[in-house]
Amino acid sequence: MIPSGAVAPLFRRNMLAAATVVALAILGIRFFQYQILKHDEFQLYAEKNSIRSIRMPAPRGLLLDRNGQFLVTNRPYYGLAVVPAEVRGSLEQLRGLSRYIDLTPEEITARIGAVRGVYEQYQSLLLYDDLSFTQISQIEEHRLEFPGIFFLDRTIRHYPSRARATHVIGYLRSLSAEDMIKYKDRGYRPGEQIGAVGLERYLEDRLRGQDGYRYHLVDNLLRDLGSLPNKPPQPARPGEAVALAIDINLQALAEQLFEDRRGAMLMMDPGTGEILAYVSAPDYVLEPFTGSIPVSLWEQWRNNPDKLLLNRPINGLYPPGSTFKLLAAAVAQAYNLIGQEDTLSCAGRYFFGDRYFRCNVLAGHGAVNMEQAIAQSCNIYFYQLIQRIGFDRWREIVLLFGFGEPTGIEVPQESAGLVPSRPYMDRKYADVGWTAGHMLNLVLGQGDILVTPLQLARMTAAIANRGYLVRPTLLHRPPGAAPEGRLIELPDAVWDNLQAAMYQVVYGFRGTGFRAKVPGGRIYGKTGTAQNPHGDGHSWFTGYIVAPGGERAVLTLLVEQGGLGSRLAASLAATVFDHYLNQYLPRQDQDLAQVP
Amino acid sequence: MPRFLNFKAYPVSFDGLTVVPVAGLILFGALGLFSTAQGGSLQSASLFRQGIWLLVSLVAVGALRWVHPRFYYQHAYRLYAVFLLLLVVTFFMPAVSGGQRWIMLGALRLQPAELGKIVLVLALAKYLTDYRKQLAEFPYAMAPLGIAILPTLLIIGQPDLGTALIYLVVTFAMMYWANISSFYLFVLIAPVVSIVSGFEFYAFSAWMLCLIVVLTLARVKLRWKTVLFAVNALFGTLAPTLWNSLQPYQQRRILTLLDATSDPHGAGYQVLQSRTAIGSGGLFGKGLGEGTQTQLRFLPVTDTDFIIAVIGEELGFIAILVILILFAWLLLRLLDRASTTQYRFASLCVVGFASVFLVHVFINMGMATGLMPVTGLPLPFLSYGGSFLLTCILMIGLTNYLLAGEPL
Repeated sequence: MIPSGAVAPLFRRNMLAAATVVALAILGIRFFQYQILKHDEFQLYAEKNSIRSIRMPAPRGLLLDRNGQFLVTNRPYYGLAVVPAEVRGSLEQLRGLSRYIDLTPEEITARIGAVRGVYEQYQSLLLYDDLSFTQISQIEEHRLEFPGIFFLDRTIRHYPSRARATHVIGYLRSLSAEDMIKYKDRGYRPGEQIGAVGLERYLEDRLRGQDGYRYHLVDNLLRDLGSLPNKPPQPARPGEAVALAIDINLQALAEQLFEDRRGAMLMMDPGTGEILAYVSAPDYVLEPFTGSIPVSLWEQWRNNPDKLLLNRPINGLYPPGSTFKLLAAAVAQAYNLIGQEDTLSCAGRYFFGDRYFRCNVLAGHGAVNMEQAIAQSCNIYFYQLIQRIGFDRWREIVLLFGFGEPTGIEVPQESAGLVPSRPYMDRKYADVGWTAGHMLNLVLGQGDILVTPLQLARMTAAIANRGYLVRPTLLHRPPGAAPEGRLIELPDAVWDNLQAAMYQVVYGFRGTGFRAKVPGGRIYGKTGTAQNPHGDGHSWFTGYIVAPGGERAVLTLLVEQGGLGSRLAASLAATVFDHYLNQYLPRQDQDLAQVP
Repeated sequence: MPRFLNFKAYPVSFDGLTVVPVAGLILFGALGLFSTAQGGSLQSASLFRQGIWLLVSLVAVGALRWVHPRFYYQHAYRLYAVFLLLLVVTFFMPAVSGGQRWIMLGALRLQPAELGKIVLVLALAKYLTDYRKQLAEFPYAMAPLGIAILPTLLIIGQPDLGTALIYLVVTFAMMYWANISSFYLFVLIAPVVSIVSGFEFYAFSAWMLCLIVVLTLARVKLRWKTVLFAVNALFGTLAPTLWNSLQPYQQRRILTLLDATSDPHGAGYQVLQSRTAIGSGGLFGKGLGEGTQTQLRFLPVTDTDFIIAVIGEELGFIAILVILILFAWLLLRLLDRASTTQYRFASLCVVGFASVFLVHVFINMGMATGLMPVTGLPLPFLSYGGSFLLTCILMIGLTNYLLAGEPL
């Protein structure tokens, strides 16, 4: 009841009371909306603010050889770091670090002083890369003298094996900001390492593993306030360990053989396609890639005239030389263009068109049959044979043996080689025209044909397999797993004759591959010398061994500018075959014996 | 010797229904300050200093017992003059954080605009009491605006938009309470609506239509109707030009209100973090001292203007509800007392005080939740800040003293 002398009428009093209640109710509704209705959403924002997940990188998967020996492992890596904002006051003390690391006191001051910007002040700064254990223990011992320092630890690649297998393994690189467009969706972060080349790249998804996380509370300056008790860490899942087909001992021997040479070598199990040894010489040392590789060193490698970075077994393109005579022989028999015992005569030179083509023996081989022509590598025999074969049938057999296409080995970016086609020849020799004369070159594996050593190894495996063109693999094939590949359908007699001829190359009269002989095993082979416009010819040997126990291994070997294949390549092959027979095979038996 | 200094204590009984909600609000303020005091000598000083200020305020209220109840009425204009003088003095003081709002006397910083709220209320109340017979005439009815406009302009110059807004709203509320004609008040409000609606063509057209209807029905001379319409039309069309003359920071403050995330590093950041703090508090809060937003300093400003965000985060919606109820209790009680007294001057003062509280509460809690622009107004009895606490407690004390005085 308002007394009569009241200042304002009842209506105005009620209006003000209503305004008060409405105003406070609006606030109440607003708080209700935020604190009750949208609570979960804001709870999430608050957690995003204050909870930082700290990544625990998953160790990258190990690489083993076929016997479980380590090819690539991880090793701990320690960096020395500080948070600039926290050490501003103790710079004088930090300068004392120069006693233990290769930095002068001035350099230490300069590095910390170089950090500008408020945000950067609170991010860790790497003072020193890759500390040794001695350095760590020395610094740890005097830790109290250096307030604010801490060790950054992670793991990096380590190569404990005496076999390098550089081009097989490949290396890692750090993801740049531009890469992130492509890799962000796959969970990568800038600066993270990713397989760049070789199996490191091919096996990336298996080797990578899954990072773990632990959760820490941070404040608005991102200072760490310790782990969260109610959010348990997610442990990292290490990457898968992968066994390669490589045998470390064979690989090490092969690398040793090629120490001062340029070239390639492959040893392969023809039954499974497993690569036992894979050499690309010269190569480079992988260890420096683990840290940050200096640009100058990389440039040096890239510009090396010996082409360190060229992966010769799959990217080196060479004329196959006389090893290709095997294919001409195969197609001639398949089409019955010549009998096995039919002879053609070689007088040391062959007149075709308007010029003479020479044989490798000046006096000539006389009358030779196919087996003799292969064993003695007679050019004249094949000059005459190719006249009967013709370009199309020759090309057919070359393609059938897998030339002109990648073999499908795991190392990325394999070359296909070059098998010239009619349109290709027409285009290339448009002005002068191409004639059967070019065929004389092609049948000897010269001229426009280019192959990779791996393709030649696969061809050899197909002969050893009597037609099965196996896909080469760098990964260890579990026993019983079916190899991949395709069958080349040729009459049995063709395979018999090819194998016999390859046997004669090593053991026959005037056989060019006699140097590849090893007591105790039967060696089949073919030598070749690919002409090289830059100097001595490239020296080829491709063949296989059959051990007394029936085990077989294909060996393809190329020495750039090695001269006659019959000399250097064949004698190197003997060393490898010897190791295979007398060390590799006995070791395999031992390993098998250990299995219960 | 002046009459008011006769060293006689005037008998007064404190109204318990006013004191209880005030005590409750001060308690919540202490809890909030206690929380922000966690782990920092600088912050713990704020709780201590606020305690000192509380003590000073209570002593001041106690000391007012010796002031004659009619002193405020008799000397309202003189106090008003001193207040204007002090406001002018602030312009000769060094600037603190971009504003010249304080008078520095050694370590003591005084913000005249705070106590000025009381003085303005006293001056307005005196005018509205003295001229109550003439208030039916338009010039007399508009005169309070003249009283308010001087300090308002000075305070806009400081610059302190929030306090200036308080002055205007309080003046309007007291004029309403003084029973000034609704049409006059409409005329007063109209230009403000014209300016705001001037930014939107359709809103402005609708408003103009509404204005025409009201003016047609009003019983005033056609001449005045024409003038009123012209003035409002002018205001509305000039509004965009006026907007452009505002300082960029003022524009930003208003714009970030519309979308707090549009400026995530400035005022928008504060509002965003404040909303996050409040929202993440939920029904019961995270517990005192457990708020991640407050304790980990994601909320940059805590103990002064955004104390409600701290309380909302750590004590939850329950505490907010209790605070709102306490404010409602206090304000309705003040309104009740204002309407039950025969003493016009006191009644007007109490309504003035109540409106000061309400505007503070609405703008402060509104800005913490992104409902109102960030104008830097503290929350009565809860925010850290000595001058403002003193002002608030003095207003409560004065309410009691004034209502105890006899009607004129």
